[in-house]
Amino acid sequence: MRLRAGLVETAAVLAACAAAAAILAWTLPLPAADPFRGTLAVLPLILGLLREIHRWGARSGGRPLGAAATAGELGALVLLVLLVLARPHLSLAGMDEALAAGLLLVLGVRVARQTLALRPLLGDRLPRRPSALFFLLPLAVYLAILPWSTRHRQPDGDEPFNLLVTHSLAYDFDADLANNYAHGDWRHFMDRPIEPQPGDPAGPHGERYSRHNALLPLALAPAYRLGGKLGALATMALMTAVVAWLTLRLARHYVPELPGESLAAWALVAFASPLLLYSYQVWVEVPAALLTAAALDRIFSLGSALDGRRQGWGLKEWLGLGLPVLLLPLVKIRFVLISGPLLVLGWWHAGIPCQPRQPRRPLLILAGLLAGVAAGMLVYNQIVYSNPLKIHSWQEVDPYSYGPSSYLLGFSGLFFDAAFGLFGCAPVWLLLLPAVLLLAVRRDRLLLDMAILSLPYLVIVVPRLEWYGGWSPPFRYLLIAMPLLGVALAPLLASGRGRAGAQALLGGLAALTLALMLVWLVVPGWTYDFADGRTYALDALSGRLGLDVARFFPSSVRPRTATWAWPLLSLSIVSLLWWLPEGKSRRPRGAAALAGVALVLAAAALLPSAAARVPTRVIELEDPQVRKSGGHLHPDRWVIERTRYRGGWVLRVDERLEAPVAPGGRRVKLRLMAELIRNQPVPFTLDIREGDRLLASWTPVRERVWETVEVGPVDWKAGEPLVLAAHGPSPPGALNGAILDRVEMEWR
Amino acid sequence: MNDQPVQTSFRSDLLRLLTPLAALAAMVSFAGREADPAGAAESAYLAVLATAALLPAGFLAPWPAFELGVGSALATTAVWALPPGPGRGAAVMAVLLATLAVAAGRALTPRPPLPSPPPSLTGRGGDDLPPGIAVPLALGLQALLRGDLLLAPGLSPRAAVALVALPAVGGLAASMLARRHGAALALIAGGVAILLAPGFNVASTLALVALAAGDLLAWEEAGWPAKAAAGIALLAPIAWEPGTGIAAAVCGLALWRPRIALGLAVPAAAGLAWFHHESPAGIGLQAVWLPLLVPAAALPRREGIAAVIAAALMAGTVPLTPGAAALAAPMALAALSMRRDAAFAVPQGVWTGAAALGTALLAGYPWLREEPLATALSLLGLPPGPAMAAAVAGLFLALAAFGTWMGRGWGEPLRSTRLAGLAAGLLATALLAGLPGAGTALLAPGVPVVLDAGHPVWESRIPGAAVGGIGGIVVESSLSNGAGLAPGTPVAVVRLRDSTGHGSERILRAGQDTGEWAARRPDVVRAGAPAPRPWISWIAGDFLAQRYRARWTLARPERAAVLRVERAPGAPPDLAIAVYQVEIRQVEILK
Repeated sequence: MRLRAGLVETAAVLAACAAAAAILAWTLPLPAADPFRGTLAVLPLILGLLREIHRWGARSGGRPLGAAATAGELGALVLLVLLVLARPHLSLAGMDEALAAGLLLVLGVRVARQTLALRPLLGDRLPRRPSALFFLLPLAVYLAILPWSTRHRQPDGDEPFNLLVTHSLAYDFDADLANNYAHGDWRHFMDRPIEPQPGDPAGPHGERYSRHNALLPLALAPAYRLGGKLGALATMALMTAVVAWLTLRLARHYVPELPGESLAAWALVAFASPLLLYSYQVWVEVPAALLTAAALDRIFSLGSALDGRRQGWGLKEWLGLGLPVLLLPLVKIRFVLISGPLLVLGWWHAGIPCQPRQPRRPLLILAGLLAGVAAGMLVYNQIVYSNPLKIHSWQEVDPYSYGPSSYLLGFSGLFFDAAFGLFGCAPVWLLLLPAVLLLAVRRDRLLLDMAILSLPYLVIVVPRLEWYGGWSPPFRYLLIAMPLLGVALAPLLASGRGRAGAQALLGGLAALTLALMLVWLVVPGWTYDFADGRTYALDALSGRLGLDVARFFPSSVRPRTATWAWPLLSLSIVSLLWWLPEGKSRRPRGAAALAGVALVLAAAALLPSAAARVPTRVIELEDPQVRKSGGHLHPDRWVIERTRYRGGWVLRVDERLEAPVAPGGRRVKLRLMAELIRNQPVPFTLDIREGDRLLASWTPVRERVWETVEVGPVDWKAGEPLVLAAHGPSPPGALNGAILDRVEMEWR
Repeated sequence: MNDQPVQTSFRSDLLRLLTPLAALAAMVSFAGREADPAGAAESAYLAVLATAALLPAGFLAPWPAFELGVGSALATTAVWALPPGPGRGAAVMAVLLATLAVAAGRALTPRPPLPSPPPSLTGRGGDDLPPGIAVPLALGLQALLRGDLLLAPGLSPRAAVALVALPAVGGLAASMLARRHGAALALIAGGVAILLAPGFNVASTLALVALAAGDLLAWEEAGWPAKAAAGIALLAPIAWEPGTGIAAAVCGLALWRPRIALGLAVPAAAGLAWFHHESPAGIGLQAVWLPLLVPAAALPRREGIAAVIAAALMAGTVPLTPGAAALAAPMALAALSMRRDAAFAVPQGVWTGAAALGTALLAGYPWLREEPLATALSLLGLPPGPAMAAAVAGLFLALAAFGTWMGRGWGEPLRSTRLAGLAAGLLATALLAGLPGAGTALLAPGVPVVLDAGHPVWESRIPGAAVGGIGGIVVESSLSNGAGLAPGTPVAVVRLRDSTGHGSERILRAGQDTGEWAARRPDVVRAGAPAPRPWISWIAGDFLAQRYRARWTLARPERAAVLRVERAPGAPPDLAIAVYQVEIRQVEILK
């Protein structure tokens, strides 16, 4: 009776909040294009959700939240809302971003407090079915950031095509996009027109289909029909929240005795990037992660008798394991490499010694069905695309086509690349390094499960250039492993997180992650880095400082010392710090965490100085710290398979570049990589100067051939920039120019 | 106070020191290499400002001082990530204010809402405000309220005294006041005392010292040397500034011997009024600040009635020398005399806290208002004055009556929470109502248009929604090479034109609507060029640049399709006008 009354109250509160949100959406005194309009409109609903989560949390045994802190949050929120409404009259550059960050911080404080308050709900041992609040809290966060994010970032990469298929399914009840392209139906969810992608199949009567599978659009179509783009994105948020909740479900199979640590891991998975960044986007990796986590949960239930209940093979297993295994390839064909290992894991866990032996026959049936689905898809692709792999070739997926360096570069890049790697977007995940070491030392089955699940997939994905972004947020190709990666942290957190080094790591990495998360959420477009070896964030920093800061961070697109140094150094430093032995003297609680923050700030202080003092070895001439009087980037940012090209800057007649140089000696030998573009039958000359002093002139003859121009060794005066100036006759028409790739500097 | 004792080991103190210093290093290092010189100067200033605020916040925060770590990281992130300019300054100020507020909030809670039972005037108040909290809080507030002092290159002894010594003394005085009156009233008294200056200047600090001295004289347990010292401190303000000092001394005495103080207040007020004031109306206008800032004093404790009357007499007659801070003593005395019941103390606390917050925001970079309290109060829709005082007092009494009614059945924490929420809600509603009507900005923020001899005209189509019913125009601008212009010289013409070419025009005049951007540069200051009050200031190297705001309310709403700004035909050839924003407002209410 009490429960029903509580539910009625919750329904009433949420209905009232939804009504308030609807009224606000109509009456807010902000222009339709205002970036905060959606956020303010959805605010009552978020407040209502958070209130109910708190109420139900306290009612279910969680800790109540402190009234003073809640009052502080509300006060800050009111102040921020007032500033949002007043800001059109203040006309301050950067204020939108600052206010958005402020709102995010208020949300972050609330979520952190609520997460801690929910801790008692997990008890001393992780429950079989975690409370729905662990689903609702992430959902509230994802819905809160949705309006700002979608307002500041147009769908990109595969997203618009998935949305167009969704539109077609929702309104035309078919997957033929010909009419949708013709009518410009992309206008329903973005401003930039889209055209059919290369490799999209065409029907005999002019039909145009997308090469993207229709399963995700099918799942989004009902919500899209009801709520348009926001409805589809809210469905994605819903799926992401389920992934977060499933993390806790998975944790009970591995670390049931570590509820507190599992809660921390859950919070990290749910509220840190990359999962948070995917919550408001349309990527197949989210449903794939959901299906994988659901299947794993069912697999582990097969092999255990949780809570004294013997698990058998029944409808639950067919739905919980069979359905994900068969649906994964339909989401994207490469996920067949996840389905297969899932079956292997199922086989393994169904027959774990000392456990009630589970029937394996259904798994054999599932394997047969999976083989049928895979074969069917290959045949279908062969018929429709004349290629069983759609736009890919067998050579691309042949592991023997790649050398060990490709695997090494790709694997380290997945985690360390400043643009696309996991640690670059959320450095707190660096804790995975000691966590994996700990699992290895303990011979934990989690490591084995992770390896079985992901190795076949990684073997195919890692060496290919495709993972370098693909116009997606970071860590796309291993997003499916996030729940397991999160769970992998729990044993580490249980093992000596009270040590000074561990606390320093936690404090420092958390502060850094918080700062980066604010940047990623406030400027959502900055997570869409291009596969050119650069990142928006480091470019902005280099531009502000006029120094090459990016060279200190790893990039697999532009392999450099940092690409190899970071993995080695971070593995050793993070692991050593975590297990740093404690001294005998007592230290105040939390001191090391604060010291960690101070250390990160001190390291940040070193960065500009290092950029100015560490000798320049390579100058990538298209980078922002290089001042240009004219010219343009080459190749264009949107070129397909960008990594196959040398990135460069096209310098035409009467244009010049000026690059800052940190000298590493008195004399230097320069090597310029450049290619002539001849548009006129007249000479073209490029002067290479140290400041105003001419060092050499290059007058190329051969067109469209990469040449290396060597200069020196020559004396170099400290403080002088490297200047490249193009000159020559400039008759009417297109000018002559050169693509300048990079300058290597060898100091003596 | 916080139940958990603050750990003050050497390591924790070292970290409270090192974390802001690490943030300082990160910001200064960034500033040192920033390519844009103006941005670099601003980054360096923000680094010093942040450190000045974070250091006391660190020592204020209960251990583990997580807010110090988060605040340091956020301030550094803001300096590194946001584009240079006033917007970044406002963001850093907000981060610092929030850090200080969280640290203060955690240091001061959980606390019983009010002492129970109410202490007598001769007894101890119950909850203390230890110097370990009061002094860092005062230092942090001073850094934010007087951040302009940090702009000067090098720290002069005068600035060091203003930034460190005065707030430290003021904080100690507030701490002493809390021993008898409780932390809540001491904080409110300290808050209202520093609102008018703003911050701790000599007047407001001496006022608090005088009050603390008077209070100490009332301590039964104090020995004669302490009482002798207190007596000297009570009279010290008179030596500094006789008029203001007499008022402060009378107010201080009121905490020891209220009736004697009242007896002295009458002739003192008469004398001060005769010597310093020309009209009773002026006295009345000055006294209005008392109900405006301390509406709770309208219904004081029985034993505080004499003190409040004395405070009112002094508030009306004290000479405003060196400025509005002369009112600090009467305001603080009134605050200390108010009722301690939650019905009064909670709304008064919300009101004082909100006023302090608004004042700090407007006193800080980039707004740097000369009278930040008055500007903050006027955001509520009325200028500070009798009408506003009446409205505030009326609303306050209504809230107090409601709070008293709530006291008959509600639990104390719930009553305080709800009352605070109600008071804050009313404030927010008033602020919302005070917001200007919908407007249309014609320029992107931070991208000014420059009109000079070569490019004398800028025009913009007015977006469809704003075409009809234009009620006002707001122009943000500044002049280059305009310091020598006589006040009132036309520098630009702002024209509104409808689709037929008809319309109206307004003249932008130097010294009234706009002014020299470098009006605060030493050479321009020496030249004595007048400039109107700035709207926004920003750091341009080693001085503060500023831009100005002109607002025109149209006599009747107009329709227009185009807005055009033209450089005035007779303007000097080297004069340039930077237009930062032009806003079209559809309603007549212009703020």
